[in-house]
Amino acid sequence: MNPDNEINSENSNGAVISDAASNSDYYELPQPDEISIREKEDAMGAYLMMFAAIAAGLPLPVINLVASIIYYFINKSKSKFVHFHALQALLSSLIVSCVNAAAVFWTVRIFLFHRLEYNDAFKGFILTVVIINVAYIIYNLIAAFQARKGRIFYMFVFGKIAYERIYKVKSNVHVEPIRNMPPK
Amino acid sequence: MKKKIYIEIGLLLLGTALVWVIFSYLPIFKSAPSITIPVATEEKIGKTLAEELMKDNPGFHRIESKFDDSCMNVIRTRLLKSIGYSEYEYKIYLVKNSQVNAVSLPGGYIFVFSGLADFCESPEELAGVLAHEIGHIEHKHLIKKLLKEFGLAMLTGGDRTAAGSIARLATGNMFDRTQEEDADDFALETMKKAKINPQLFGILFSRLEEKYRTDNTLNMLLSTHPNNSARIKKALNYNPGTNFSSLPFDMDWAKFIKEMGEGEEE
Amino acid sequence: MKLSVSLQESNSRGELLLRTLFGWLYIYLPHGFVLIFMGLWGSILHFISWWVILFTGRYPQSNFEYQVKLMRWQLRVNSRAYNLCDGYPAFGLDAVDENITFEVEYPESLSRGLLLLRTFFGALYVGIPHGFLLFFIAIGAFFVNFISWWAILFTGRYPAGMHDYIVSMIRWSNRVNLYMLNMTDNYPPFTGKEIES
Repeated sequence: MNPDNEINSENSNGAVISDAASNSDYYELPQPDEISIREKEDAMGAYLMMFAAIAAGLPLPVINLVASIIYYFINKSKSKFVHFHALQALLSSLIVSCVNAAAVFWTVRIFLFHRLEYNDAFKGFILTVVIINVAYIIYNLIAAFQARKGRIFYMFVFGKIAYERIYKVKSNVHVEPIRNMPPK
Repeated sequence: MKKKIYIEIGLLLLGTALVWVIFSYLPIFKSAPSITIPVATEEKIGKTLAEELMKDNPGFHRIESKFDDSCMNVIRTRLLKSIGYSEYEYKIYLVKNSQVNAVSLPGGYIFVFSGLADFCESPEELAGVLAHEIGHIEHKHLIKKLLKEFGLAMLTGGDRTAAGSIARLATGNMFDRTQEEDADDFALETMKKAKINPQLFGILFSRLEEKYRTDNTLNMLLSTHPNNSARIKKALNYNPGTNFSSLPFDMDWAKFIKEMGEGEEE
Repeated sequence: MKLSVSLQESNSRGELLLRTLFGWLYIYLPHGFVLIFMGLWGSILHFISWWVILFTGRYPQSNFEYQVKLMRWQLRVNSRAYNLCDGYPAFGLDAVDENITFEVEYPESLSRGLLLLRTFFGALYVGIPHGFLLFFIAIGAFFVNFISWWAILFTGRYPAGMHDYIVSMIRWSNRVNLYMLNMTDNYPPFTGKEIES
């Protein structure tokens, strides 16, 4: 921590590290032994929201996304560790939901307007979507297990985005407080 | 860090696109020969074949009758409305030919022989046959067969001699039993949606069979469609549902036949 | 588990009549509407917790607390439905009601074997015996509720014995719920009385 740097501030997760080379500051990452079991469980729960549709008994993939969003907003204020995992789970859920929605839309279009005649591009897309979903489930389960152990598991793309969003120290721009004034 | 994020996003998108392409276009993943050609190409093929037929063949001279054309248009419009979305713009030609037959070509071209129209006792019966032909076109039966038999190069090659031969072959017995049943099902369903009694389809064919039992020379429609007993039975037993009510065409069918006859004499 | 609904010194006749005639509109409808969604979220958390218990042997504490708060909210509404106490039941998971006490001790570990047993055979060894008895108790509660309604109307007080009966029934069914929801490994006793742990 650089005590002379007035911009940096302490947070609940610990000290601030200053990267002089990149000139950007990130909060220090908590280590597994510093994280309470409750936080680990909360972080793990974020990834398990992908099963929400099964839990709710409604075969709608959008339920997973909605559950991830709700979970994110409930848990984001708990700790940066939980916030990180919740955001990562949300981002991956969002992308997969969009891909699934596109697949559903295309399939319905073929069903309604093209009398089930599909081309190779559609077939390729559906196979790609299946692979994406399988990869998503496996990846999420791995992330859930790692979170339960108190480890910060970085997903491809989403890991860095979540880290940048949550662990980067935001510069405190001085904002004038709003003052109530009489009518003009 | 941001640069790394953008690189990773790019790699993810690229990887996904690559997987999609591999699954779409690698031979091992391609579906068994499902021939698909653009509708525009199909229409072009159909147009070429239709032009060849109408140019040289005495059996494909159009009957010039504004009244008959408008009647055909009424039938066509009702049928297409009940189908809903279609990739094709249907062109239905009434031609001078004593045979009891109708012929469809790729791209939405249908030829109705005057012999068939004369045999029909009502526009509803003719509508049933048209719905059957539309079924062949919508399900791309003919174009698939032609592509298999002749190949795309020959069909779009522009060789008029070849086109003429292909067109004549196309008017013959080109469809298998499954395709005929498929077109029948389509016709019955379309007739139901268009508020035309689907059983009329079976009535027409049973009348055909009754009349031409001994002489099939004038009845190409029967001879090109084997297994008629089963399809007649199916059509006569078709149940359009308790809410079905038929809406007859509001046209003077007698006048249609008369105009057609006068058109044939010209 | 600790569940109690305090017996009021006196019950308001006006509120009794208001609850009977319009309670469905101003209490049960708004609370019921919100509780549907809270309950849906609870069932999602319950499903996920099942798997977490299977792999880790622990009920996630946040989920546990949510379920307890949800049950406490349902108890607040139910106590008004049974006319056990007056006042409008508070909204919210963290709401406090001075008449209601509902505490569940958080289990540090849960048995995976019992989890599977409950899931596949719970209906048999819990549902049937407890359900059978609770069915008759519930019939009794219907009559008790009816009689107590008139008692409140004429005397302005909920009879203590009847109050205990209803609260015992609620306590018994909540114990069964806790067990079946995998929130405790203690088999629910065949009684609704408060048990000193």
